[in-house]
Amino acid sequence: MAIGIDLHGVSRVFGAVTALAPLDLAIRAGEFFTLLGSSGSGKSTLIRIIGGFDRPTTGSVAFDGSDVTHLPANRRNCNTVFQDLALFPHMTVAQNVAYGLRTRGESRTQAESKVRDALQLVDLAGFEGRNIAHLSGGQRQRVALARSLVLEPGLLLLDEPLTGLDERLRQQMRDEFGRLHRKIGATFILVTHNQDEAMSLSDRMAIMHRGGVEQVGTPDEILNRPANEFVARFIGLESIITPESIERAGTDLRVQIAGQSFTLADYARDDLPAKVAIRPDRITLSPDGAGLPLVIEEIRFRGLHYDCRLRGPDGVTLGAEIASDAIPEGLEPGAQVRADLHRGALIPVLA
Amino acid sequence: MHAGFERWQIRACIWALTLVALVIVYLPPVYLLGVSFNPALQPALPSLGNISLKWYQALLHERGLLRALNESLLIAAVVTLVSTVAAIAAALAYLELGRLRNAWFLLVILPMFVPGIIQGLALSVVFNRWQLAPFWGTVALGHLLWALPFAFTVVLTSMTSVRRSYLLAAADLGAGWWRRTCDIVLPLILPGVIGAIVFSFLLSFNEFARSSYLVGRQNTLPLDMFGKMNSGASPTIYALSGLILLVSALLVGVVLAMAAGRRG
Repeated sequence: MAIGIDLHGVSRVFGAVTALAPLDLAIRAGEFFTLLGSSGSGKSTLIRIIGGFDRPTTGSVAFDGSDVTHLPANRRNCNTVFQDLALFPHMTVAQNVAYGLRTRGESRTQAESKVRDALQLVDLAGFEGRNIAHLSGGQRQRVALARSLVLEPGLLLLDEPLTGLDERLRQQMRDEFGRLHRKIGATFILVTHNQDEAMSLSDRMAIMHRGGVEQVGTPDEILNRPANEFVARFIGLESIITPESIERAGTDLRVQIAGQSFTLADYARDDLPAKVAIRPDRITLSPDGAGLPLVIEEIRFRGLHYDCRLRGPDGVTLGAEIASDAIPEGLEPGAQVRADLHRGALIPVLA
Repeated sequence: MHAGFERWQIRACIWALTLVALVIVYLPPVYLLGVSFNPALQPALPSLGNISLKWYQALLHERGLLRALNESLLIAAVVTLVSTVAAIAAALAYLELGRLRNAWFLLVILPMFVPGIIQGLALSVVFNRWQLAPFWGTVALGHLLWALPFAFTVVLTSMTSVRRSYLLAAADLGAGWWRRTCDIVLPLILPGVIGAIVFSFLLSFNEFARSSYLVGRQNTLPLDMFGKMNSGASPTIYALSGLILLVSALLVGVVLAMAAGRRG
């Protein structure tokens, strides 16, 4: 049922602009795959090519091994939830959801029962006769999902459908995507610029940048073994430093920063990283004691935690998230502190 | 902002202006309607005891006027059909065009700015050259050039309600071009299509300058009425005017009632 996708040398050029550099990507059947990137990274171009709304300039797209590069969208076993949802305003909820069944020529009674099931699936049972204009943002999301899912596609494309929802609804719908994915078992591809969405939903994800794929991996791999500095920064590891030395110590790495030695555990690769990133959530600050001697540049209250910017002796800056109840007394910009790095605070940045 | 937000002086002023405008627009035709019920030969409002359908009865025997009415209705019907269909096609083409959009728009709209007397003359010269004898079809062709730009503009305005993503979504759900157009585009531009029908019909029915060059042996209604006015008006043309006025009012009423029914 679920479709696996193979992209070979896919590129897309618009006039003088290369929206996608030739790339290879394999998306496994049944996985929740996310294309994460900022605007202009090529993620939307890529999903349009997968959905059949655009043709690649070079390369091929295969669904389950068969070439679909030149198959138009209406003949692919794949459905899309669009960014603006694109619900038909002149149709009721039921007519919207039934539209794909009607174009397939399914009988009215069969369509009716499928529509009822699909609306039940997205918790909108009984909404059949409603007018689209009278639905809330979250309900519209669900109708758009039902309209795609009723066709039982092997592949569901989600083109930034959560943009424009308020934060609470966004989280709610995000969880809904996860639930539906587990329940239906189709391949889901989500396009987003929001890393929380990507991290919490994906089986695997691709970080896209300037028309290319920077890294493909599980959220855990990307978070703990970012392929390069761009990926590290993109997923929120802003503090990247070049240590004085990095040496092997058994399966661990011994990293020397500002004259102090820290451990980076379980490093399996052959080549050593040139730089390390420091996770902002694995730092404790104390007025004195162990750790790196730093000066506080700025402290910002963020509710559950404080965002601190710290400066080291050689000009490096570090970010630290300190829980509101763990912030030492009397910490103010200009104060000297010691920053102790916990286990897992150091992340190798390979390139 | 809800009704009655402005100060009463401003509201009174707006109401007064509205009233003046309504009187200016509606007084002459209503006066004409009154005149049509006056059995006397001189155009004046009838006294209340003197209302008569004399001229309406006489109208039944005015063969020439009725034939002209018939000709005008035929031409208007054909023009309405062709110009509405062409306007929808032109608007769909506009939707598909990329950078050529503006050029296409100007091309379709251009006949609107050619004065009728020049357009009519030009067409009659061309038809003459092609040895096409003038008949109702030549008039209809002239009217088509006049009605199409307006119909196109009205349809195009309603095209703004068709978002590109609707068409992408319909394609995604398996609809080919034809189904997308019938299921999504046409229902959404329906108000514009109705507007195009009304405009095309009225513009053709009213047209004078082009008709005067292109008409064959049978006059259209405006030409016939104009001729009758010049050669000493028979009050039957007041009756005809009254009749057209009443039918128009009735039609507008029916359309409004239907629209209200659809909404409620």
